[in-house]
Order: sequence, then structure tokens, then C-alpha cells
Amino acid sequence: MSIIQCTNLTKDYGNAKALSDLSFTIEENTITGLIGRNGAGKTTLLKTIAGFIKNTSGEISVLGKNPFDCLDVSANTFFADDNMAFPVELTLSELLEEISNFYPNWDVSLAKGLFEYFGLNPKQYHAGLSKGQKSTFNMIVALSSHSALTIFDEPTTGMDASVRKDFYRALLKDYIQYPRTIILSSHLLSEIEDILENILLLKNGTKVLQMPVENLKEMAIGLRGDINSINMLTNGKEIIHTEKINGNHILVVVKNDFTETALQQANVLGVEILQVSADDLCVYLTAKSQGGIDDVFNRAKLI
Amino acid sequence: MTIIFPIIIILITVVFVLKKNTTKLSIPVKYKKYFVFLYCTILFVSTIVLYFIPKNNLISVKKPTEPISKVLRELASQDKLNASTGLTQKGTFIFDYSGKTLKIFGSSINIEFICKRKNIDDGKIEATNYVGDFSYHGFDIPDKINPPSMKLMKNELLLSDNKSKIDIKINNFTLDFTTNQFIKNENYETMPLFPMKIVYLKIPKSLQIDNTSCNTLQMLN
Amino acid sequence: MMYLIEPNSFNILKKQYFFKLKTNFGLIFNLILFQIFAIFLSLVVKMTSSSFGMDELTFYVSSFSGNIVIGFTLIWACTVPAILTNSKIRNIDFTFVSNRFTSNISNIGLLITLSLFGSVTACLSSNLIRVLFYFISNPKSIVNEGFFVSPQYILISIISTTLYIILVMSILYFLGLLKQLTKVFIILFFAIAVAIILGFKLFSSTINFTLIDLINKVFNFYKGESSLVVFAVKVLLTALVFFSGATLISSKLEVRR
Repeated sequence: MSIIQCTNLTKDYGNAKALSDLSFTIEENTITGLIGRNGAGKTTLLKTIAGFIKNTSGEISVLGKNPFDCLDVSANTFFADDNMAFPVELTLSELLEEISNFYPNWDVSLAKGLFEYFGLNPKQYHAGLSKGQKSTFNMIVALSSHSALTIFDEPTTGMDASVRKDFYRALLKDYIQYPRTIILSSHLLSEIEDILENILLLKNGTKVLQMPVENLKEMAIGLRGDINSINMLTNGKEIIHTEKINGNHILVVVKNDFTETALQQANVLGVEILQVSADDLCVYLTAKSQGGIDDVFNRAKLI
Repeated sequence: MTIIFPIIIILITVVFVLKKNTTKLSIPVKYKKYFVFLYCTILFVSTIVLYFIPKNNLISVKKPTEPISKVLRELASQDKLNASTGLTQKGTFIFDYSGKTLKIFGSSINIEFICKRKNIDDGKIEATNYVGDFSYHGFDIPDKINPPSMKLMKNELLLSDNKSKIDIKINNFTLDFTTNQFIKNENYETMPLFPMKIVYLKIPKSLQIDNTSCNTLQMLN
Repeated sequence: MMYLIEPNSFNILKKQYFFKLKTNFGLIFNLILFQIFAIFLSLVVKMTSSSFGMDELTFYVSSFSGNIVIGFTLIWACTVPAILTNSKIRNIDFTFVSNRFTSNISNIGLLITLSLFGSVTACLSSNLIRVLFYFISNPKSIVNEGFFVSPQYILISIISTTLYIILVMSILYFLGLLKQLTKVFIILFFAIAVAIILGFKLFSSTINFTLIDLINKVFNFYKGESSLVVFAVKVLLTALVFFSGATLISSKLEVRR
């Protein structure tokens, strides 16, 4: 059953299109990673799903309803980002108590346990926390709410590496115990690809791809070698990324639809076959140009 | 000038309050709660205390009495100028005067003169000062007012102001405008009747009074 | 599988209302500060003083009342909706469970509760002023009438002041939400307001009715009313209009941007 369904979803801000003709579905009880560059529309999409922002055109249905101004969606969704608004007057422990009133599925022991584990001070005020501590607190609240749809927008901002690791582990463990639909948006795909099930890749407000993580890892391969050999191998294929190494050697990333024989041919030609990580692949797929940042320097040389 | 100053204070407070609410806390909430609780307690206590304040300590309003000048003539002719009719006697002067005419100068004082002819020509003029009852928020002032000094010079009776100054400060509490809007006020603040100053002259039978410079003279007979 | 929660609007409203009572305590603290300052001013500044006298006698009459406190409470009442309609504060609702309707109605509930509290403290503070004055200055100089406020007058005062505060808050709440709308609407709103004002200025000679007259008329509509019941009806209807307008506006607003 699909929890979220979008058809031709568009969101304009004046002349700029934040989301443009976006169509996808997210199934129940999955962890989806929302990946894309800055300004790709991730936050806009997530806020539209949560019902904070109204789409300009197209259809969106969350839990079977339009999420904008919908109490049902709000009661079953938790949206955690790095500027969550909390009342200034309450201490952290008071906050946890107040929040638990709003969520019938609130897990008191989990909240308490995580709170103590991360060493947060119950008598402190939210405004006095550091950025990393704020993210930690937001994460604790989001997990303990046990909402059917939990959305994390850049949840690890400011967290140090060990806290991030703990967060992913906690997320996974709780998800296994109490399955729910989770959407996670992050820059650090390399860190989270182990816990993600699916990936939704956005570029300029449009969907580039949506597929399970394993498929993404296998989707492309890198070829490194002589420029002529590579051109031969990749004749007619769609090149995802090109990179000049030195002299005549280049690196090329293409879709992995090579047959066994083609791969052997590559070996013969002295072309190296490389794995492309999901992280790098997403970067290439959402790049503006094929050559990446090297283009800037190449152009400079020409001039 | 005096209007601008409070307006500036108000504007500053409003801006300060608005700014403060979107930034971090300065005073812990617990102290604020105690403070508010204390204030509310003081308010309730003061309301109760108010009802225990004895009324007698304060000034109360007496009904304004009728202006006496109308009935002055009658009172005088009946010899009723004394305390029972609300007048306080303030001293009597007796002058020896043997002239034929008497001019009375009241200067700028508001005095009512009443003149009664005696039956005999004894060459004496009796002048008695009276001060009328004063009715404004029940203040009893007559004892504070000094009678004007009188001098007899040649054929003129001169009355002059004494330079004493009496300042009385009253504090009046009114209801708030939100209550006043719905209550019909019994107006107890009428214009005060100023103390009537009266000089009662008993003059010799054949004395002529020249009252050209004094127009509050009433002759009785 | 998490079973889906089916929220009840009324339930959420109640939770939000009590939540807001707890978290907006700072507003009450502000009120107390305003009132303490006003009480101080009331004791020191003479509202009216007149003097009259004759000959050697001069009377100086100074009038005191709780009007300064009520005035300052009304000023505080102006700051409250401005704070509540601030986008940062509005966003707090949407961190948790809310829709625009519940957020709005719980705000209105908070406003009415604060009005009542502000009114009670303002009216009782006139008693405090009287008591303080009695102990500070010579009791012999205080007039009896008007010093003791009978309980029914206090009650009338509380009801009336609450209504005034609600009136002010409802208008400013509406304006505060209006401010959150896109710039287009705000410009439109001001354009209409300016057009009305200019229209009056231009045609005042023919209509025989100036803008000042209109403002006076509006003031007197409320202030000139001498029946408490009719006044209550007037204020509550006006507040209803503005609060409904505010609810309409808020349903269009985006949050957490």
C-alpha cells in the first residue's frame, strides 16, 4: 500500500520552480533516502508532504488525503529538520512531557534512554543547546514519537561522527522493532546507504530516478584508460561523467549494461573497470555538466 | 511636551517587549512564576484591606446648604445671626464715631454687609464679623478664616484683606473609565459655596451710610 | 505496523490550548511589569488637578483613578497578538499535531483567557492604588466618595475591561495574520485603506462629514454605550467578525518555511 503518492507535483515560487512535474510513490514501511544537491527541491518536497506548504499544481496524497492543513496527516507525521520551533519557556524534560501528550504512540522508555545516553541536560532550555545537541534532541523526539510517517530533513547537521553513527543505529533498530515509513534526506549518502532501502534522486525539482539502493550501486561502472579505447567501448552509450586524468587517460562513467564479452574486451584494451559508489553516482547524475568542476579549469586553460 | 514623554516611554516598552519575546530567556521561569504569584496575592490582600479602612478617617460630602444671602435679611431682622443658622461669629469691633455720614469701602473682598439702625444715637458703631458654613466635601473651614481688619479713618470704614493664605489639598478618587461608562454618576461635586463673610453693623440712628463704593450693603430699617 | 491515529479536532484543540497556557507564561509576566509601572505612575502622576479659590482660600483638587493601569493593560493587549502571530511562534504548533483551524482557535482561546486575567488584575490594582495611597499620604485629605469601590462596581469593571481588551486583541490578531500573507495582499489592503481616507478627504466638503468625524463615530459606538449588555453584544460581534476573518486568512498560510 502506498503511503505517499505524487502525480505531476509542481511548486512555484514566483518565477522559480522548486518542484516540477514530480511523480512518484512511496510504499508503506520503507526507509527512503531523498538525495539531491542544494536547491534540488528536497526540503520543498518534504514540507509539501508534511502539509506545511501547498503545491501549485498536480496531486499529492499522503495517507490517502491531501496533506495541506489536514489534521489526520499531521497526527501521523513527524517532521524533523534543523530549525524545529520549540517553545522557549520549557526545559528539555518539560518539552518531552508536553510532546508526549500529542502522540499516543509515544515511547517513554526510548525517549528517556536516548536522552540519557546522549548526555543531554534535562534542565536546559532548547535555545541554549549547541547545533549538534539540537539535532540530537530533534532526532530523539522524532524517533520516540513512533509516527506512521517520520520525515528527517538533514537530521545530522552539526552532529559529530560518533553521534551520527549512533543515530543511524538507533534509527534502524527502532525501525525494525516498530516498522513505519521513514524518509531521510541527507547529503552524506555514503553514511546512510546501509540503512536505506530506496533512493529517490532529485535534480532541479524533477525526479532523476527512484530505485532500491542495491540497484543503484550496480547501476553504473567506471572505465579508466586510454581515450581511444574508451571511446571504442562506449560507442553509442550514454556517458554519465567524464574526467581527465593525465595525458591521454580519462575516466568515464557509463551505465552498467555491458555484456561479459564487452567487459573482457575492456580488459584486453587495458581499460580498468571501477566500482562506482552510490554517492558518486548521484553526484554525477545531478551534475550540471558532464565534466564536473574540471570544466571550469579547462575553460580557463583555453582562454 | 508633557504628552510626548509618556508616549516615548510607551513606544520603547512596546518595542522592548516585542523584541524580548523572540529571543532567549533572561530570567528563569520559576522566578517569574513566584513574582506573578506574589503580585496576585498582593492584589487580593489589598482588596480585602480596602474594606477594613475606617470610613471616618476620610472626608465626606455634606449636602450643599442653601446660599444664605437670600435669607440674610430675615435672619438679621430676627436677630438670628448665630451658630444655629450656620454662621460663626468671628469677633466684634466697636468704633466710636460721631460723624454724620459713613462711607464704607469694602476693597476687593467679597463681603455682605448688613446694616441695622439702632434705636438710639449713641455714637458707636458695632461691627460683627460672621463667616458662613462652608460646604465642599465637608470641609469645615470657618475657624481657619480670619476676619478682615477694619479701620475707621475720618469718615470712612475701611476693610482690608488680611494677607493670610489658606491652601487646602484634596485627593479625589474616581472610578475607571470602563466602569464610569455604565454607571450613572450621582454628581456630588457641585460648585463650592464659598464661605460667606458677613459684617453686621449696628449704627446710630441718624447715621447716613454712603454705600456708593460698596454694593453688597443691605439696610434693614 | 503503527496503527494509524485518528485525531479528534476537539481533543487536539484542548491539548493545544493547555500547551499554550503553559508556554506563553512570559506574556503574563510582561503584563505584570506593565501594571507595576502603571501603578507607580498612578500614585505619582496626578491625572487631573484643578484649583479654585477666593480671597485667601485656595483649593487644590487632585484626581486619581485606575485609568493609567487600564491604559497600560490595553497597550499590553496590543503586544500579545503581535507576538502570537509571529511566524516563529506560529510554527511551534506545527512542530506537533495541528492544523490551521486548531492552531487558530487555541490562539483565540488563549487571547480570551489572557483578556480575563489582564482585566481582573487591572481592576484589582485600582484597589491596590487606593490602599497604597492611604498609607502614603494623609488620610484626612482623601475624599470618601469614590475611594471605596463596591463589589458590584468591581464586577462591572472586570466585565467591561475584559470586553475592551478582547476588542483590541481581536482587531490586532486579524491584522497580525494579515501581515503574514503575501506582500500582494498587504499592499492591496493598504491601497484600499488609503483610497478610503483620500476619498473622505476629497469629498468631505460635499458629504459634510470628515474623517475625524468617522473616527469619532466609531469610538463612540463603543465608548458611548451606556448599557453593559448592549456593549457586550457589540464587542463580541465585532470580535467574532475579526476572529473569523483571522481564521480564514490562517487557513491559507503556509508554515515552517
